[in-house]
Amino acid sequence: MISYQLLGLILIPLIGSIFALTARNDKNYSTSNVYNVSILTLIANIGLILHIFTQCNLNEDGMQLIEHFKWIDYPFVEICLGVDIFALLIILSVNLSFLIGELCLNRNTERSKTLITSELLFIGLLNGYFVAADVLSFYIFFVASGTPLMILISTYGSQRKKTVLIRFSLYNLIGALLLLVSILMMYDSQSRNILLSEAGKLNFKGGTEYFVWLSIFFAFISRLPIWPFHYWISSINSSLKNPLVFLVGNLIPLIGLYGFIRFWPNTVPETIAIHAPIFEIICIVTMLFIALVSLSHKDIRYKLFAYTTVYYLLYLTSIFLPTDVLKLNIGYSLFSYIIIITVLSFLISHIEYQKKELGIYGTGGILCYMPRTSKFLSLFILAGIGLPVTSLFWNNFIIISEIFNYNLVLGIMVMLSVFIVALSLLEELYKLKDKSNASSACVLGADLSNLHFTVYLGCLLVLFLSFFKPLWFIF
Amino acid sequence: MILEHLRYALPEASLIIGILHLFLLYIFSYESAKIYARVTRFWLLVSLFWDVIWQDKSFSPLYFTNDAYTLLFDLCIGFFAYIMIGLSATWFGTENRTGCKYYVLILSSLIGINLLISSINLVALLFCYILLTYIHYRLLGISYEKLPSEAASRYMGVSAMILIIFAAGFGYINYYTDGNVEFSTIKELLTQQDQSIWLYASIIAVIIPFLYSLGIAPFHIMSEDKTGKGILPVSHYFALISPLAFWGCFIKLNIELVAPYAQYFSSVYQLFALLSVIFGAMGANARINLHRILSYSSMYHFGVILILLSNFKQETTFAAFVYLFVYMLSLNGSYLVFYSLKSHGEYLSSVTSLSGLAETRAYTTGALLVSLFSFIGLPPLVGFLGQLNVVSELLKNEYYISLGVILFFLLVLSKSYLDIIKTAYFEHKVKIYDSENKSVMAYTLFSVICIVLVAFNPQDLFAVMKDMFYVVNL
Repeated sequence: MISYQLLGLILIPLIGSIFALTARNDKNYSTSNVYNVSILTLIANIGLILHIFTQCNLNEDGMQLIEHFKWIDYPFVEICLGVDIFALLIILSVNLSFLIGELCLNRNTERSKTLITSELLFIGLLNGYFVAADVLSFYIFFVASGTPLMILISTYGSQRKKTVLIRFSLYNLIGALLLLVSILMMYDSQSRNILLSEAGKLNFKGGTEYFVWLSIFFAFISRLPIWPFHYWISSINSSLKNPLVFLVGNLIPLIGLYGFIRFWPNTVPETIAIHAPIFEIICIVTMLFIALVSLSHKDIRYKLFAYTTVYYLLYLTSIFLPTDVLKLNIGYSLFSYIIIITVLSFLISHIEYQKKELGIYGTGGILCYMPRTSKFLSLFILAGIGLPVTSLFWNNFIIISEIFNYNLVLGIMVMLSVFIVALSLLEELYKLKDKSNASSACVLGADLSNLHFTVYLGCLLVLFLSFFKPLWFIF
Repeated sequence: MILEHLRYALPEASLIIGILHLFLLYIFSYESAKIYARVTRFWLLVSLFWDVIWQDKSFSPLYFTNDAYTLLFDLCIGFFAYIMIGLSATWFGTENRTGCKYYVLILSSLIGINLLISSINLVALLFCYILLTYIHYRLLGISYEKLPSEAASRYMGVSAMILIIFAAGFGYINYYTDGNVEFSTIKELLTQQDQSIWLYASIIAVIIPFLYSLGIAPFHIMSEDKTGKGILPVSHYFALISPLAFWGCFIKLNIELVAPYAQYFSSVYQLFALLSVIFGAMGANARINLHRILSYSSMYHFGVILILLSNFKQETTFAAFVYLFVYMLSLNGSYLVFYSLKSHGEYLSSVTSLSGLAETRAYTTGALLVSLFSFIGLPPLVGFLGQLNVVSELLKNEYYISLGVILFFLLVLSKSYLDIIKTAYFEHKVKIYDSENKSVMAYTLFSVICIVLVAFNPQDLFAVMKDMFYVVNL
């Protein structure tokens, strides 16, 4: 019997986005309808993910619950979907983070329909990307996930970033085209669609091998804030004020990172793997550069962007290590990390919103009048930089230990970057909490609402449980 | 016997009756463009019905043959023509014109197209080509000011020269084959005989008019004027219907006439195709008129199709057809959006007129975005299927340089699309747009659904198309 569960992970958000799109243009009703549709869609999807978890063999490595769908006859393409625990963990954290976002989003946002429709579309395509088990569907979802992103950035990005967006789109398009050519070369070599796990076994020679693999990596790098692409992504991300769009922007690098995770360990041929140090050097230089820039930057959003970038690059560096035992550690760490950056992004948005509403010039000392926000911001920043309350702590510990084990200098550089970016976030936290910096005498009613308080408390609980057992939700 | 053959002419006869019907309406002074459009669409549907019924029959088997291949193109053209005619009524209605002349010319052109695609004889081909050239000249004459159009005169001048070349080629082949100018006879002769330079030149002379009509570089002299200077419904016709018809005939000619010379024509086609790709991508970036941008964009995409055809293999030729079909589907989506771009009763066509469109016309901008992304070939839109076929075939046949050029200039072309998107989303609103026509909105929605959904389950549609297409064998 054919199972449609993984297809369901893609289709549920897509159906939700159609519902959101067709909502009536009535300001009194449509906004809440659209939000309710998206919340229900995400709850349904999370339920399905948990159900899929229960059907997976936790001890088995490799793709499980494989689903095949015939797509076209000429050229013959059969789409193949499958998951492993690592992919499921990321899917769960992404869907959870968007649910947190939906619950904590200010519903007075302009163009709610565009926002929610694009967001659900993005989730559906991202889920598709994570469950893609063959190279062609991997390509389709890799490229397709960029479309809602462009709509969101076009709608909510700042106007002066328009040229940056065009350059960003063109770079992405170059990456996409190179990826298409290389996967079709793979297809052509076997006259059939290739599973992701088989990609490294293909027998390409000399220049062709280099072209295929470098094209694939270029496509993934175009989605990561690595030199020379760091400027476009940082410019776009730092201009996004809407927290949900910021979250979408922050998940772009996850797409590139996931691509590397799927293609590099155990898959990439030896002739290419020997060049890993080049990638490592690029990663380290970018990490250090962004961490140092964040130290001098005054915008807290940029600091958050720098934090996310440095951690993404930390995971990426660990992928290039000549070992494949870290994959699950990266997965466990990413699970906490995505939730942490979601909550931080929304807390910062809340502070910025209150600042605007109250007409305060600076945010210094504002947390003194927002005790709930203050506590959560402190806890999540500390959790983000390594407080032992989440799975991020000990998994990052293992990852960094492995990097040290591999190369001492590399380990020191990674530690230094993580330290600088942590310092930068702590410095900002101090400013927000420092009463002597407060520009307003009293800010009443600006704290988190009960709903937001409960949601963040729930997040903390989820993270805390993951500290003891990463897959605690499977019985 | 004669009567039996005459009934096979019912597809063309229906269109002729449609023309007479329009004349009657004109005589009785009907003023509504909607009625003219409705009548035209009715007779188009009747003609398509007879096309399906008599799909393998022809009223004059010596000159014309109908088969699944001709039916495939007739149906595709009929589908796009039906939408175009429906929307043109809103344009003529806004301009307070009946559009009778336009509809008569469209029905006449559909007769010409039906005959052109089913031609199996050079005499018939030449006749149909002359007929279509004249109809196109008259169509270009329909201008905003109801004055003779400069573009039409220029078109006639250039087309006359092209017709002379065609006639010269036909003349030599006619002399060489002793008047037996059926495609099959010529192909047989070309396969058996030693290939002479004059015969080669005369085949080129037959091919050039089609390259000219398709706007393939370096014969693209009139392509920009055809879509850029005409009124919107005429531009729509020249962007979609006319190229589909000429491609239908050109592909058939390629298979049934040029195939024996494949080794010589292959490199010539590639050269012309790459020129089209380069000029198309560069030209689109240098234009600010939306119709002209799409005209150059078509030049790029037609160049891609010609590269595929240069391979002279059945699979690659079918891939070219798939690419053409999905491109036309996306192009139709863009043209539907143009019918929504109206300010103070005036239809807009410059890129700057799109400034801030997303602020007030989110759906229209979304539809435009979907079409433009489909042009680029972004999955999961239908354009990706075309791109998949193209890249796959070029890799399989080791056309690496051509592939590199195509992909590089796709990036260049994408810049012009991104500029349109940037204007629609980022620039401040400068125009107050008129309220959208409901039928235009419905067609736009239908088009977007087609662009999105065809990509989800294309195998049944493409399987049928493949069966119909493969009737013509290489």
